[in-house]
Amino acid sequence: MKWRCLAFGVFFLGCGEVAVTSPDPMIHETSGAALELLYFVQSPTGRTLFGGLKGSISDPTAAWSFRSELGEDHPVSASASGAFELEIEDSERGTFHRGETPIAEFLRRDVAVARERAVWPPIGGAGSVPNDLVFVGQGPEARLVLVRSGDHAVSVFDLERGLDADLGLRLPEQVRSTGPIGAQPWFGAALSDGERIVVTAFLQHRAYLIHVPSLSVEAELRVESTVVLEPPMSLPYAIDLDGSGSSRTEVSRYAPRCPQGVAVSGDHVFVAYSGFVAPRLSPTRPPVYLPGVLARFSISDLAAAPKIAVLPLLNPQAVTFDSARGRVLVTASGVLDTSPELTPITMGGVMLVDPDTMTIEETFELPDFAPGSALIAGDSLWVSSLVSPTVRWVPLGGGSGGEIRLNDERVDSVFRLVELQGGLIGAPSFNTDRLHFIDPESKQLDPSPFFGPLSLGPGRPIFDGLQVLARRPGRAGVDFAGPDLFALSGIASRVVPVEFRKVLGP
Amino acid sequence: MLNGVRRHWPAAASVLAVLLASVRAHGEPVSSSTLAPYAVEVRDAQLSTHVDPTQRSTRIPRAVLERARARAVDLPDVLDLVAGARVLDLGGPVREKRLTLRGAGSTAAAVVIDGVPISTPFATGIDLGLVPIEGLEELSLVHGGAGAAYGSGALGGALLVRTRPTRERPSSLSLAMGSLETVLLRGAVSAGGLFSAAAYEQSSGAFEYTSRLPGLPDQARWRANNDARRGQLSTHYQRELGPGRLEIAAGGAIRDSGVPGFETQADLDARELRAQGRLRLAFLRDAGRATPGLQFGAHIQGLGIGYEEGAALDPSRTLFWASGVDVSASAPLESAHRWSARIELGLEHSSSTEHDETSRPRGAAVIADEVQLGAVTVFGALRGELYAGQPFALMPRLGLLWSPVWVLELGFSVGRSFRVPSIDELYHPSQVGLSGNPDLVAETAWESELFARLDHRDFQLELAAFARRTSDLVLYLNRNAFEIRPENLGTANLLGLESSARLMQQLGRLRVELGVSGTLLAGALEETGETWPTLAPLGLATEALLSAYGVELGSQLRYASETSANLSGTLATEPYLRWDASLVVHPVDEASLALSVHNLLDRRDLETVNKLPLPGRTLLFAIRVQEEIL
Repeated sequence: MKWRCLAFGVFFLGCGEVAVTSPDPMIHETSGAALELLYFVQSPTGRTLFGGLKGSISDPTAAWSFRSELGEDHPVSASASGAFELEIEDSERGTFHRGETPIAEFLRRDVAVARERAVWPPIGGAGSVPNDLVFVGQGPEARLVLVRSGDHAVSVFDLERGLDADLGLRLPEQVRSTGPIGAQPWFGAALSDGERIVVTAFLQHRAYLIHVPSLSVEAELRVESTVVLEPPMSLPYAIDLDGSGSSRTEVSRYAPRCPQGVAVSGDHVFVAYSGFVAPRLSPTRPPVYLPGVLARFSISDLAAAPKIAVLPLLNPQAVTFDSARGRVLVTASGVLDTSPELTPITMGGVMLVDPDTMTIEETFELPDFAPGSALIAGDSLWVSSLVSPTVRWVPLGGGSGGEIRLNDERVDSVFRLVELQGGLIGAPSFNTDRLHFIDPESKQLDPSPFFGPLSLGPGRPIFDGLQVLARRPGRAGVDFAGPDLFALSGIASRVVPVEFRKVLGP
Repeated sequence: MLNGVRRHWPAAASVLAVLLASVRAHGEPVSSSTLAPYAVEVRDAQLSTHVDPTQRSTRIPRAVLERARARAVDLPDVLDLVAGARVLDLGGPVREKRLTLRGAGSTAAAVVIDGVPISTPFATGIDLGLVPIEGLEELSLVHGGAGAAYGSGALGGALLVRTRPTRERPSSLSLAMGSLETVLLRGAVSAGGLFSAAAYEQSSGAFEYTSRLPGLPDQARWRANNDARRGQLSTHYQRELGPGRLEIAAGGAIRDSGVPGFETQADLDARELRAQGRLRLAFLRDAGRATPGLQFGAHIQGLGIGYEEGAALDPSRTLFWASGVDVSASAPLESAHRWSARIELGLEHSSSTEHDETSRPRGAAVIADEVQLGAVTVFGALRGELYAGQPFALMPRLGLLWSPVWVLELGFSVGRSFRVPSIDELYHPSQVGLSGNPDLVAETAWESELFARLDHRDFQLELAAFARRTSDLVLYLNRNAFEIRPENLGTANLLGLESSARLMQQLGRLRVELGVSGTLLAGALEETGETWPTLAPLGLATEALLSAYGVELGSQLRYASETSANLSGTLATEPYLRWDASLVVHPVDEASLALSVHNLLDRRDLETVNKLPLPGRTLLFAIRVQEEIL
């Protein structure tokens, strides 16, 4: 960097000052209301709105009101979910009251400006092919862990200095007859003890249990048993599946391979093995996948053989645990072919798995959609697509669902939906670097107070590749100041902090 | 503007006088010897029918090459001491080396060997490792865009290679052995009008290195599947024929090597077999007072690549050839006015598992005119070139050269260059996340340069400033999460300074040569505001040679500042610092013994801008004998 400055100096172009963004001040605790979920904004249509997201009012029996600077009182009437919205006459500021007691003063925010300010300067340098970002722990002790697929490593990503904190762990190499194989870690899931994380090692067909404070591998999670296929599965061409040097065109027995998704629930770790064998290599060599497998490991008894389930849909991508329903959601994209154009060539969908019996209770098939991730919100299953800028919802109780299109891209990927504060769903668009918001209750895209997506990167033509989001545990402005969401852009290899307090809160 | 210069000339002259006085104070100048320096030549035999006198180039003469041969070093080790040039070493001895000029990619450095433009169907640039140093007579590095002279590919400049001996050259044989089980056997034979050189080289390429990744503990690692064997052959024949002469030049090389992959994704299985060859026949008649100079030439150049990775994957096979014919004429109209014209026709054909069977013809016409007005030379040229499937490209060039005093030359030039996308960039099918883009068009660049050159006997100093604006830049970009392909994207601007100085002194029996070159680059993509990958803002190279009583001590230091390996500038590449040293002893004039040490500092974390590991300290012992002993 020093020389770059020198070079520019020679040409009188100078080095730009690094923008310093400061966090919004902390919010005081208020009984019965979550101030960090309230907003007072001027919408793009010019309307001035005071409102709160889901959960903003937990004590609706209290006499909440908003008094504008003009002295007008606006009583707040929240819904059962604690959300509300008022239209206020043109006003720059106002005070939120409980009865006659002023709680907090709100300054009106311009939505476009607030969205822009919410995005902090990126923290550059996330290594080669960063693939996941996970918070481990709670409160001030929470550590952001970066899963570095291309570097075969995980790092504690300092919230200000990034990788410069030098807190990294190279995962062990596996020695095979063909040479050392790197782990190529894919996704991670934090344990509730606040100190450990499980990371899947795609190329090594296993997962690692990592103790984060000491940056050490505590255990390997492996499936020793094999899956028997009856009848055997034919391969489109002869393949050496296990690196033994012998190729075959038929598979009757195989070890679960290439794990990607991972989720944790209590003592259980759920790992989804994608079954990946090869991508399309030539016109005569299409992509090859073996049936995916979901394995359940017990952290307290790692010596015990994991319980496994063979999945009916190919290429499981993500695993999440829905604690409200006590179910594991396994999202399978199906096999994607890239030639002549990107197309799902097998059925994709979401499988609801009973974590105790490891039986698949329900399968939501989504043909031609290539699901990438799923979560349950507002009594619907929400699913994102890997091949289109689309999010679909399917009512869990039956009935027709719908679809929300994020942009006009022909091909785009929404790699992972994330639950945000106030019940919103965050949907990151890979090609446009935009973080969209979805209200699962109203099915509205980019509802108030956002009225549009956050720009977390430049978008086309040289986009950063917005991939995954990690939400900092705790309440923004109450438990901590500063960014409460960290977005990982894979192509640009950087992390973009987001502070929702620039939009929400007093 | 000239008036302005004249007004300031007295002040400039006094500065120069002080400078020259300080040079002379070190001793009497001596005549050129076998240790001749890199001459920074403006008027240079550029293997083109009509040489542009205003195009700056660095000539690397036979004597410097001879010295490199004595040390058993390779062509890239010679080139990357030149200001503005950087050779990317992709893995150590006998491995691929690619030339980059003025911050442009390796595809933007044209390579012309004996008049044959070397091309490839891939956007990888030309492998300098396949050019045998034993067969070289002279090199010229053309600085900056030279589209009008050399057509497609000369965006950043050109490397011109001549194998034809300009005077009798003795036969020679050299053998070198050293670290990494490196063995080099090289020889050259000269007889009558025929000159041939051949080499066989091999290396295990296995070495220990230090893996350094951001935020991770350093780790000692072993580079494997990095072996290589190669054979090289170069031959040149000429004879008088009627009113002119016939020249036949041919050469080729073959290399069998492992493909070790990236540091973070090593590959122990992949192998590559690469062969390339060239042949050119030309009839030349020099211009006389009343007769124009004429040249008829025909060439064919081929490249074959076989790549195999593991048993489960389809091997890749590519067979590529490019042929061409050219007719040139040049003549003086008056003593101070000269014109030339040239027509070229060519055909490329590639048959490959990477992009199927593809052919494309091309044609070009060039006219050039040079006028001398006292101390000022004006050169103008216009080239029109058409590749099938591409828009017609016009490449004008205008240059001025002013020599106010005999030791000083000032030059200014402006011109346009272009690079036609390679066949693979256009037609690579969508596989494993990569595809071609049939809609790609040539990237074009306007470049202007201002330079000053001082050449006073044994002291040379050159300063050049340039600016380049590249349009329709070809960048490999994500089209989506699943596909990367080349796209024409916007505009890149580059400002640069190049400087070089060389001093030679004879202090009694001791001869001292000191050379230093530096490059400063500042550029950005307009679309991102960021610099582009691999652009090192600062490059430095120094060379020191001490010789006396047949013993020569040499030292070369190369530095390139940190750069990045991605468009966002977030994957930093460490600064490159390599120090080489050598000791050459000439017990008799016709023989030499040499000990060369590469990477004397033993930096185990040295890597290319592509983040490929390079060896630590290596030794090479070489013995070389010439004709009289043989």
